[in-house]
Amino acid sequence: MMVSLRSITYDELKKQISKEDKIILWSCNTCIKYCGIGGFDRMVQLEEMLKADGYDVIGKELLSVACLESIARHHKMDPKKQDMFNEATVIITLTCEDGHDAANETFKDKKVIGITKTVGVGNFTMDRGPVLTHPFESTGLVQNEKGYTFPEVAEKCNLYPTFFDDKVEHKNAGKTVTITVNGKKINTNEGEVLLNVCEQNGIKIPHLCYEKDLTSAGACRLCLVKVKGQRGLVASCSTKVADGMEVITEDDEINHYRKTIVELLLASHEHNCLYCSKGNPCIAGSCELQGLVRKYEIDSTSFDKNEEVLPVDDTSPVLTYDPNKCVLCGRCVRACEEIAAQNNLGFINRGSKTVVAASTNKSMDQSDCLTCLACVFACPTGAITEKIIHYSGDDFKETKVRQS
Amino acid sequence: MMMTKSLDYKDITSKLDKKNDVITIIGCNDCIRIGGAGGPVKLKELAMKLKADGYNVKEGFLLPIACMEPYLFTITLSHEVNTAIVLSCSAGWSNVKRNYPHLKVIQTVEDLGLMTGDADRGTLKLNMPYKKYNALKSCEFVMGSDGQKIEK
Repeated sequence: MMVSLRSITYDELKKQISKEDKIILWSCNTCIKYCGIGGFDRMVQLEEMLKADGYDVIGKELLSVACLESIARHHKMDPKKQDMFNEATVIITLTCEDGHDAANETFKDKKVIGITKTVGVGNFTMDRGPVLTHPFESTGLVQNEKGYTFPEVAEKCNLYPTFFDDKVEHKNAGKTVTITVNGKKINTNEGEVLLNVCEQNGIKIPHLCYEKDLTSAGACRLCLVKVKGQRGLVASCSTKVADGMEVITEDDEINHYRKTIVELLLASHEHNCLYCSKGNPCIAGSCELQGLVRKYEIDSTSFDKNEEVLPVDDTSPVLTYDPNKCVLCGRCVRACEEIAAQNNLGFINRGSKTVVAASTNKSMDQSDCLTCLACVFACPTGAITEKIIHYSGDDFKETKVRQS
Repeated sequence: MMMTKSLDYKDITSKLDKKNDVITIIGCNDCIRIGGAGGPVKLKELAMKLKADGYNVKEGFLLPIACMEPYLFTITLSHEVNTAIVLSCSAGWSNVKRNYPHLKVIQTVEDLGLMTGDADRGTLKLNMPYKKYNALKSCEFVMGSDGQKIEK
C-alpha cells in the first residue's frame, strides 16, 4: 500500500483557507485509511474541527480509489452534487500524493490543498499497524522488509505520525440537544442520526442496510424504534435527533418484529451458512446476518423457504457475487454509486424476484465494474466477497480459500 | 497505486534451482493486475511456463491485496514449499519475506513508482517515479499492458 504521513499542522492548514471559502473534504478509502489519515471517520473528524473553528465545510466526498482519475471525475460529474461542486472554492484532500494529483487534474479551477507526504510503499501489519518497507530515495531511508513504523518515519522525515490533533477536544460548533434513550439521558448535536447517537453511547441497534459511509435507506427495517409522540415505529437510521426526544430501542414488541424480519430474510433464499466463510472473522467484515441469527437465537425460519437457486456470478477477477446470500440491503448499490461513483450495480425485477445486477443485467466481467472492491467492503453478508484463490495440481486448478 | 514492470523470465529462473526448489507463487490482484504485470491470468501463465520448463511449482495463491498482512494470513502454504515467487510489487514481496523468513522469496517485477489511472481512457500515468525511472515521469501507459508506453 502507499504509505503517507501528515505533512502539515492544523494551524498550517487553516492558514491556507479563509472563513469565506466553501470547503469540500475529499478522501480516499484505501491505503490512506490504513495510514490513519483518511477514510470517512477522519473526514468527519476534520469537518467537526473546521466547523468548530468557523469554517464552512459544504460537503464530504469518499472515493473508493482516489488515484483513479475516472473515479474522481465521476464524483465531480454527479448530477446530484453539481450545486455543491460549483459552489466549492477549496478541496482538502485526505489522500496520498497520487490521489492529490488526481484531484488537482479534476478540479483545475479550485484550490486543492493536500495534507500528506507520500514516502513510499509498505504493508499493513497486524502487530504494528502500517509500516514503510520501500521508501522513496528522497526520504533518506533504505529498504527494510521489517518496515519502519510511523513514529520512526515521522522523526526521520520531519512529518507527523498521526492525524490532526487526535487528543484535543474541539469546541462543538453545533447546538447541543438532550434526548432520552431507554431511560438514559444523552447529550448530542442537533441533527445527528439517531442510530449513530445510540451506537456511540453503547446502545446497539440491529441493522443491515445502514452503513455510516453511505446515505441512509431505511430498507431493512431492523433498526425500527419507538419514539414518543410519533405514530408507529421509526427507522433510527433515517431519523435525526431532536431536543427532548424519548426513544425506546428494545422491548418485547420491537424484538418480535426484528426476529420476524430476520426469519423472513432467511426464508428468502437458501443462505447456506454452513458453506459460507463469511461467518468467520473476515477482513471485509463478518456476516452481519449470522450475527443477528445468533442474537435472536433463531434455529430455523417459521416461513416457507424460497427453493429457487440463483446462479452465482464468478466471472469477475476480484470478486464473487452470490445472490442467494443477498438480503437486498442495497449497500453495494449505494457504495457503487456514492463511493465508486460508477453506478454499476442496481436492483432489477420486482417483488420476490428482485435481485442486484450489474450494468444492464450483465455478468460482472462484462459490466462497468472497476474492481475497486467498494461493494465487497459494504456487503453485510457473503453475497459479494473478494476472491482468495488457491491453485494446485498439474493444471493449476483454482479453488476458493475460505477466510478463517 | 504502484506501477510495476515484469522482469525477464530469465531473471526469475536464474534464482531458481530446478532440482531442489519446491515453489509456491503468491500473487496480488490489485495494482499489479491493473498495470498488466500480474493478476490471475499472469499468475497461471507464469506457473504453467515454469512447470513446462521443469520447475517444481507445487501451488499458488492469489490475494486481493498482497501488501496487507491480514490477507496473507488467510493462506496456508504446503509444508514442502521452500521457495516463494511473489507476483506483486515490492510491498507484497516484503510482506511475504517478513512473514516467511525460512523461504527463498523471489521478485518477479520491478517497481517504477506511483501511478494514477484513468479507467475511462484505459491509461496509466507514472506520477511519482523512483529515481531510476525519473525519465518516465508523467509518461502514459496502456492499462493492463505491462509497461506499453503511449507515444505522444
